[in-house]
Amino acid sequence: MADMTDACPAPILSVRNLEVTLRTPVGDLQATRGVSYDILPGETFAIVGESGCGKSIASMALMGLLPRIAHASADRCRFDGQEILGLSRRKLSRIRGNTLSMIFQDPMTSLNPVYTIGDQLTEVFVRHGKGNRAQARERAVFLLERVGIKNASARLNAYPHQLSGGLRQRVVIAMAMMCSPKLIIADEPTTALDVTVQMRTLALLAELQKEFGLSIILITHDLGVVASLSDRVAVMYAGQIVETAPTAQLFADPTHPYTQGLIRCIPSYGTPDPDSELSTIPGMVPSLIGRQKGCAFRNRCPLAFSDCGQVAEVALQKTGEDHAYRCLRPHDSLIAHWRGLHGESV
Amino acid sequence: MFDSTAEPALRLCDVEVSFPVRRGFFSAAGKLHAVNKVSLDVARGEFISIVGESGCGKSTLAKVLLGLQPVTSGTIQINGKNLADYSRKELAYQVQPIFQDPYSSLNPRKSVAANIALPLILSEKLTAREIRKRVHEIMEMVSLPIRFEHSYPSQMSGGQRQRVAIARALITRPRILVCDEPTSALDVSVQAQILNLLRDLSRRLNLTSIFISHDLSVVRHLTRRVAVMYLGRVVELGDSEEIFNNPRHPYTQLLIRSILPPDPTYRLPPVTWDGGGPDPTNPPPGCHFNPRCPYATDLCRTALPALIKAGDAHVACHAWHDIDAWRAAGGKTPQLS
Repeated sequence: MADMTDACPAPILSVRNLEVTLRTPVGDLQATRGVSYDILPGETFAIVGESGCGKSIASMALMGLLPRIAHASADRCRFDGQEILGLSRRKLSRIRGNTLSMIFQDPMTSLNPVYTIGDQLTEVFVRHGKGNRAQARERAVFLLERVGIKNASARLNAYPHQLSGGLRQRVVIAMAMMCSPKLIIADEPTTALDVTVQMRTLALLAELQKEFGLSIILITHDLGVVASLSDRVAVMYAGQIVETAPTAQLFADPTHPYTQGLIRCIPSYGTPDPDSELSTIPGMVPSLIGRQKGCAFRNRCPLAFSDCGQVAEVALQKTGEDHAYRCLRPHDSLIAHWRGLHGESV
Repeated sequence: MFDSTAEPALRLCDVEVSFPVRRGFFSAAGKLHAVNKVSLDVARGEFISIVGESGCGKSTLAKVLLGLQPVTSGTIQINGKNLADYSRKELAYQVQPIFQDPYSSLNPRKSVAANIALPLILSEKLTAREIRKRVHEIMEMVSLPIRFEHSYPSQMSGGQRQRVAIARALITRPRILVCDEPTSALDVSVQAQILNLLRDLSRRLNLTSIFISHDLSVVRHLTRRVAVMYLGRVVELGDSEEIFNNPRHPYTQLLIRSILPPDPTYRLPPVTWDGGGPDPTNPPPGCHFNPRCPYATDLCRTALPALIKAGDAHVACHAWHDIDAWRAAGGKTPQLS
């Protein structure tokens, strides 16, 4: 994305050219390439893509949670005025859980089964020097009630296994909120939950965000979640951001052929009909081992032409205020293709 | 497409599965009714979905159909013969499974061809050459390139592994396919490929398919008949068009409203909490859904509703008629919690 920090309020998080490389026995795997984005205060930024596209590992890099075989570098990775990539563990632990916190997919594995939820909630607060145990308890009760857990002070003595999955995820959300973070990274926060619980959990996140002025990075594979919660979205494919736009615009004018394919694959998209084929994206994601040349999507792309494999790197093209896509084709012809798929006249 | 007057391929009659559970060491053993009095006929060649959330008993039902879980009471007939009268081998020729996670359902130490051929080797006296031919046929059928035959599951993507699992399920030429969440571990673009494949295969081979899922949008796209389960019981059963356009059971209505559309103008409803679903070991008296139901009356709190005909579908709800009339008069569905 082009630098646009001048026009907007200062971003809470600014990432430029984040590269994560995994050293594997068969060669270096480029998990992310040139990932750049800005997160503004109070906005929800969704990163959407399929497994292996690098959406999670890019955020793990920010949190300093990469596996040992991974190496991350970036031109800039500034959170709240501070460069966070390559900070020592000690300095990072002052930020993590404090101003920058995270919600993981599976609430059972992100809670410690041998401690009560009260212990786990208060620990963060006391550890970051926000107050004593009594104040921590008070804050924990306030937040548990806020996330809709009844009888909160009694629930503090419960162990994670005594709670249902949806309840546990709300405890995890409350825990992420304990130190009033500025940014929460939510990695597939509702994927492990039942559908009826998923919707309420997302609505809760939206409410908390408004109430406390949080910024959220929402990592998901589900475009339904993206549509219902996010302000802006980046679509990732094979380690690169291939399209970024305000959410409404992405769904109205999906420009990159991958985004178009992804939207058309959703079973609830369009008119459901048991007799018609579901739209698919043929083929599969290319191997990311070794240096890539050309467009990573070209083998699955309905609009690919010879140049797509020739160029060294496809650059992001700007179209409109805050909309960019990584494709050699001009915007008009891509939009015409999208409309043509729906039988609309162009 | 299929003949509904003929003998059903699969007939479940009052099937019940319960497990003893103990809350604490000294407390008396309770009972968890995972599947509770489920009756269902599935016609030959039909593609039917069973939907519900975790703990509703849909996977236990799948295990029952595969002969992996004995029933506590009730009968199951497959092609007119009691399931209990089939031997394990005979059953393997009638019913085959496709599981959710192709990473754990394939043997990682066997090649793709060996994985696919496994059911044959166990139950048929075929020469190696014949087996190889059958494997190649089936790989072609599921669009798996033959060059993968000596690969191992770990070298393949999730979608390819699920194709291997489908090939393995079809190699005994079964009549019934039980698919338990076959695409929930896959990416959306791959999910669509596998769903299309499953539907094409069931048509081409005239398979009777039971598709178990929690994802209503997938179900709507795939099948013509849907059974909705809640806490071990079927609460609504009917044509998918009817169920999606005119859901009668309040739980079905809640499920359908929980589908997140890929539409940025959609607004999430305000949050309401009900303290979680009911405890399956101690379900509420009357209709199991009554604590979460905005229409619940005293009757719902005392008497269990039976699955009865309601319009073009079957529904287990005391109040469906009032709800239907009230919605027809333009009533807005209240916020369900």
